[in-house]
Amino acid sequence: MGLAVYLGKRAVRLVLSLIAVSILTFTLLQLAPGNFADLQRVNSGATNFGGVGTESMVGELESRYGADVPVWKQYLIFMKGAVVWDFGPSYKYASRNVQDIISEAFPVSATLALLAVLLALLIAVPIGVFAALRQNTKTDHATMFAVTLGHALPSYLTAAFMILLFSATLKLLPSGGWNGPEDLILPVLALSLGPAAVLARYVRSSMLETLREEYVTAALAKGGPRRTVIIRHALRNSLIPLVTVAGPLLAALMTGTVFVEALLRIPGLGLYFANAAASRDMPLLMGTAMFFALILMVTNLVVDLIYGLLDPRIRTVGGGSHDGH
Amino acid sequence: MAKRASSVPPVGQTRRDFLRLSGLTMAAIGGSWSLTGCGLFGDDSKAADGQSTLKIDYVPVEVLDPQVITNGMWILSRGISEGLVAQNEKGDGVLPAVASEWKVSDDHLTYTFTLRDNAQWSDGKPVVAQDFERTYKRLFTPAATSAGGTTLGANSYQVSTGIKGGKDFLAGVLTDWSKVGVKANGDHELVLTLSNPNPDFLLALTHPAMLPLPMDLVESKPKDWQNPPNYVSNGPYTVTEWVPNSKLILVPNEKYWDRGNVKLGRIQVNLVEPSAAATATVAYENGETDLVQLAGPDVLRFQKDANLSKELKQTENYSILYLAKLRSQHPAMEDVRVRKALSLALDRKTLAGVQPGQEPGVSLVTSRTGGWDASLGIKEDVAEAKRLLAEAGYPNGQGLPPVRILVGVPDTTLADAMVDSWTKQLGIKASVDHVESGVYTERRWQVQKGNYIGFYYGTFAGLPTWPTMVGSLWSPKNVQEISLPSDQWQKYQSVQEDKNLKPADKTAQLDAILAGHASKPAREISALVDKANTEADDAKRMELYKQAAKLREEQYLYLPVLWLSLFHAVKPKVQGLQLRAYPDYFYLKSLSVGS
Repeated sequence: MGLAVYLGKRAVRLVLSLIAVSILTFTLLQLAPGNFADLQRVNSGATNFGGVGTESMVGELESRYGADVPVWKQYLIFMKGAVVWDFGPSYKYASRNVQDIISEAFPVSATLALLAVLLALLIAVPIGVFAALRQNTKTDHATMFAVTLGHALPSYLTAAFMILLFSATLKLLPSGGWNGPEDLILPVLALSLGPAAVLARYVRSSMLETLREEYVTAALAKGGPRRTVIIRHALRNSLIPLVTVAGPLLAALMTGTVFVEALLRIPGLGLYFANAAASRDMPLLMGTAMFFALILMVTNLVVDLIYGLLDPRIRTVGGGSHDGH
Repeated sequence: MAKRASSVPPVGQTRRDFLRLSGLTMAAIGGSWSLTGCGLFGDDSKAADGQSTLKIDYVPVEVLDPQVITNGMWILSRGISEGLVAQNEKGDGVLPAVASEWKVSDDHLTYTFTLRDNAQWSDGKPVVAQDFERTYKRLFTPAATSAGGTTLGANSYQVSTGIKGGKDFLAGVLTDWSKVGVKANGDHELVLTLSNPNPDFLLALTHPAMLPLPMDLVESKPKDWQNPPNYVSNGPYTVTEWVPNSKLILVPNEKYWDRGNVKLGRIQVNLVEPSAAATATVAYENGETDLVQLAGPDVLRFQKDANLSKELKQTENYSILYLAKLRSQHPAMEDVRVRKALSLALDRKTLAGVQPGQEPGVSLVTSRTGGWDASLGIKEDVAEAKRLLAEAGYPNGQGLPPVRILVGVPDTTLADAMVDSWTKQLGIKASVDHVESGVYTERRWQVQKGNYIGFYYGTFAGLPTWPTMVGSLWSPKNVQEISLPSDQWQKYQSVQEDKNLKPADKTAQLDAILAGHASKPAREISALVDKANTEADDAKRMELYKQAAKLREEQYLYLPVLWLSLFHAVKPKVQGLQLRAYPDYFYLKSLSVGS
């Protein structure tokens, strides 16, 4: 029962948060200067060629929201569709429904995010362990310095450097586009460096903590080979806290690949999100913002559940279902 | 659960559960990934780069509907759709396209087009005159219902085209379609009637707004007709794949009437965000694209490189950079002497040197326009500018608020240079107000508060003909609007936005404001252009347009600054490229690739 109640509470919180996100997004969009049609006219390349004398035809949203629908009612009409996963057509990409754009573009962003987190783990674990085993030596400091640098480097800068190196100078890889697996290399590399740095620091400190545990000392005292003890006993247990970090990292990457996508010309959801905001495309912005919020919240919920599964103390506290029973 | 929670398994067991769980998760992810594997990069990512494949860069295409102003319409007119006529190599005349021939009535008002028998849509249906009539009816139908109710941008019709009744039908003033000058007679004859003679009419027909649409499809699939595999075109190429923000794949339209002259097997159009343009030349030099438009700094680099300079193609005098007066509460800019002083004190020659391919823009009408002469141009004169400022009550700029240039594009290099020019030559205060494009679109029509005065920054491109240069770009109506005093302008805007007014009443009220409050010269410009439009004699007509153009320059409501070139980098293997100074830049049909 406890879990069911816990899940129920979380679901209610999730729905309330989504409503808050939608209201906030909608309000901010109303407050933002300019509207879709005017921007479209100014920003579409040679628009200057046209539009003269057609001012009165600009910006009519009548086909969907009625001739003179007040703003709050537009919100309700939109939300009525949104609850059944129907956001209607985007303003900017007028021949596509927002939900179709999401289901087309999200797999692209999600693929990049997953591969980036996997790669980050592959990089971070050996580095973290290596540094922990050489704690307070020069190699430890040097590694951690490099890791901090990696952490500080934003992904778009990494991407720009990589384009310069691999495309402009070495001419090994395409500088962008989305035509085949070779186009995955640069974005995944660029996206994984930051998370790898974060994860490496976690692995290091978690490993240091575990190494001080009595059971590790006991295992070593028993005469177990150092290598086996470190890998089987220490490392495995050190990795558990990573779940709390890797989960939100994954969610953050899935919803935050926008710069890398723009720079490397990848048709992911982040790019649509950014374009929707810039062009005041209400349905697309609302749809993507709510979808991102949903992804973040669901990922956090899953992380909490997994962590609870791994560590009963968290479950009791986090779930809170035993209080008062 | 509570019970199970109390009997927590030892850590090791949980850990194994965790590992098993993560294993399953990874397997699930892997599985779904391999399912989407082939679709992830689009349908034909495996297509080979054959000899006849061309890759070109373009800006993102959001809509493939030529009746809405978006970037999409200019890729359509390159050779996906084909209109009645197409532009010739220089872009100053037309060639037969869907229409094999046409007759013009003696009064220059009626154009009778004969459509070729063998013109076909890519689905094999014939292209008939009714297709054009139905397409134009959709074009002229007001926004709420046009474009199938799915597109909400601005209608792309050029009012200066002058089709009888078109403008009124679009404004909702006219509702009887039979009064609009578009009529299909049988399958192969289309009659277009104008309200006034328009010597540019045939060229105006090459605008994307006038391209035909497969109306059966548009009506049966109003939401889906633009998306491949539904998409149907009548030009040399058709669209087989479209990933917005990524690429557009074109292949020859096998049913095209002139299929024998379509030489490429496949065109990959890379849709590149302007914000990613900084890396566009990397893709070009890395062999990922064969044709790319270049920005200033890259042009300089290409010019200096012995090999790359050979691949640089310039379209001279393509567009004009201008400043338009902002409406303000502060009266300074209402004084023509102040505006004139600011124009006379712009050091255009220095400004032109800031970036490659620029010329001093001494008039709003570009010098490419046949019959242009220097008498139309501004003669810079700093001493005169200072005298005018003093006369207007701002000696040496004293008492004049800082003059702002409102900029909504990312690059402010040229605006900064203008500010520099004013501060150095006139000693006034000036600054660039660099804002996000949404802020720009809103602010430039507002009445600026307090002592905010200045101009908004823009570029325009148009056909180098008198009716376009004087009648369409900064049309007489624009000039009248911008000449309105601030309070009348606010009234004018509120009438424009009033949704309760009937279209005819709205038009009448707006016209009344202009008639009563637009400046006298602005109304004279309007009268001169109206007269020119109905003048049958070529020499007299040009003279009238010139008078109107001269009068417009003298208002200094719009200040011409520079005439700009356009630069493309083109790989040597690309053959048959004919660059024109028109926003679609070139046609695809003439292109081929050699070794």
